[in-house]
Amino acid sequence: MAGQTELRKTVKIYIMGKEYEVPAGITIMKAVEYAGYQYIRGAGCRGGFCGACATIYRLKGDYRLYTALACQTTVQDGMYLVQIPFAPAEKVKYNIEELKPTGATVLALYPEVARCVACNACTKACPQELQVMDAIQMIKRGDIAKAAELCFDCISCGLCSIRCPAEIIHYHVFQLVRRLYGKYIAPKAKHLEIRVKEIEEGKFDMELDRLVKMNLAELKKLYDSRDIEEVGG
Amino acid sequence: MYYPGCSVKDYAKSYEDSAIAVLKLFDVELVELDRWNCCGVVYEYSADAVMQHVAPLRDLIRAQEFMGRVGDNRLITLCSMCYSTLKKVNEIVTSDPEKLDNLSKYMDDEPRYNCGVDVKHVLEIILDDNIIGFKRVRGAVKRDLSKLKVAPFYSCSLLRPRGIGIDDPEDPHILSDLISSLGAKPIKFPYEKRCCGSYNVVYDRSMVERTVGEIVRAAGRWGADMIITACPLCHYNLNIVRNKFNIPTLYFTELMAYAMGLDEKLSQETLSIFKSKIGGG
Amino acid sequence: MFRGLPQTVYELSGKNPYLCIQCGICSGSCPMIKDMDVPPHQVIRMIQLDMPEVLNCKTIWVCASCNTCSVRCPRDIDPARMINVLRTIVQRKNIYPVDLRRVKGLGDLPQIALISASRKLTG
Repeated sequence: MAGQTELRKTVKIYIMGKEYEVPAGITIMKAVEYAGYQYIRGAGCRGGFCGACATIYRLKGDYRLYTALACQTTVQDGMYLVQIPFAPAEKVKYNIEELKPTGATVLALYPEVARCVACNACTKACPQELQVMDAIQMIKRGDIAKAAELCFDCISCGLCSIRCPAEIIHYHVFQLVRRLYGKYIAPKAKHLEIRVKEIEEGKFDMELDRLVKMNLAELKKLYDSRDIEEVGG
Repeated sequence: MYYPGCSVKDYAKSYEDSAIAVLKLFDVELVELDRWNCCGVVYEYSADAVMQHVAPLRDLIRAQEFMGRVGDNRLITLCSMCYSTLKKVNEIVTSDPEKLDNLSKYMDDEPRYNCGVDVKHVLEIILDDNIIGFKRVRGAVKRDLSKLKVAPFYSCSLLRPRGIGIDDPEDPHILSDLISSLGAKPIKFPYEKRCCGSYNVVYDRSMVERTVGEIVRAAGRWGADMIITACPLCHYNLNIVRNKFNIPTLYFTELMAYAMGLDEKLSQETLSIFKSKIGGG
Repeated sequence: MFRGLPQTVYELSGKNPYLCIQCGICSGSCPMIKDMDVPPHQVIRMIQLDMPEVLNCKTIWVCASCNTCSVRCPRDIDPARMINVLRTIVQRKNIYPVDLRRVKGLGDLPQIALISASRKLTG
């Protein structure tokens, strides 16, 4: 049969300096495991969401430094890889209840943000293609809302912080910004407050009691026949 | 084109609000760059400096990209420290093509700067007779400020170094002329061109308290009711001792706004300062 | 042209320290002179004499780069620029005089103060 005699295409990659031949089309993470390594750090959700598998690599003949998430990026021929399982950073201790949602708050806790020279190394390093430098600039001018918007998809992989000449720890700073935004600036969900109050007043006690007393068959029947309302209807 | 800088969006918001309102009276519109970054505020003089020039150069490139939309190559700033930094970087990359080359090689994520942007401080626009000029300023004054004695404080960046400064470093007069054209009495005093102490306030506040104490005390001895300035850092530093001498420091655009009756652009606190100073004399 | 510290300062600043005639106008005009351990004209003298101890003095960090000395220097050697260069030499050795995280009261300062201070005091 034709499929069995076809040669599978392979690529050469370099893991910590050693050359390996791995199948083409697989992710870096799978390739590293194919080569016989076992991940005990630097792997997490394997779905591009947790930021654990931060990778730095170069390609043959190219001086540029590239960054990627190992679980999301396919191998290329001539990839020189190294994995960064952790970007060293201490989170400053603060009590969110005592803070004001201003740029000055963030600068007081992380004064190194003031050292940003707008070199853009962070933006170039981000595997999520976020506008990292612009987010830091928003913090400097006190626009917490805009900064929170720009850094929303940050997965805290730490690649920007590794490259930053001002030694800013972007992911900790962004976490503080998003917390300040969510607590103080984002509009409150009024219907949530009302519903929580109704629950506390016991409006749904009877209904909940009824559900708790039902058996599995009754619950399944109830679930299958529920009304699915359209949003905004 | 208008480059705000970090301070006027936050600490010095009143500077921006009053400046935009005053310029609007004379049909000058400040169009903010749609994307900009902190200019860095401090210029690095070392001959081989590269990294410190990246931030201001990036802003000049932003201005270059924006130029076509407004049809004007002038980049106007309010903060005098931003003005000084942007102008110095503009000069160095224009006069030293090798330096521009070096910077462009690093900033390969940006288009190349072609040295076409002209950096200006807002005062240059106000005193330019082709744009506004003191005559028109005088004509727009609605209030009688003849009882108000105002000391001009120039700050280093407006006057020095030569070639970057917009007035004579030894005998400046533009702020005094502005105060006169607004109908108030200018108080020229010997410390009007002294340094406020600048960034030393971060780690040695007592040092700055001493330097600004000398300045504000001198202003008081020469009879000033208040001081005006163009730099948010001087504004902060000078106001550290305002209660000690009962001499507040304001932005010059706030004085202009009050003179022209733009009360809705000024804070309650600022308005009460003016009322108390003019009433009491 | 020279050796040692004067050569480094000359290359980085573009100004020749040996042009200084020790007239003292810079020190006389300096607004921060009371907080300096070595007055500016002596700093230039120490550069001339190739004394690396000048890199340890308090003066170079107190200087506010107000440029009053620069506009008055009769030999146009720009003492503010030379002091800037001395700061750069120290910073390039990864030595910073101030730990930003240890400074108190940062939350009350306008950002322009913190940004300019961190640019001046840290590399």
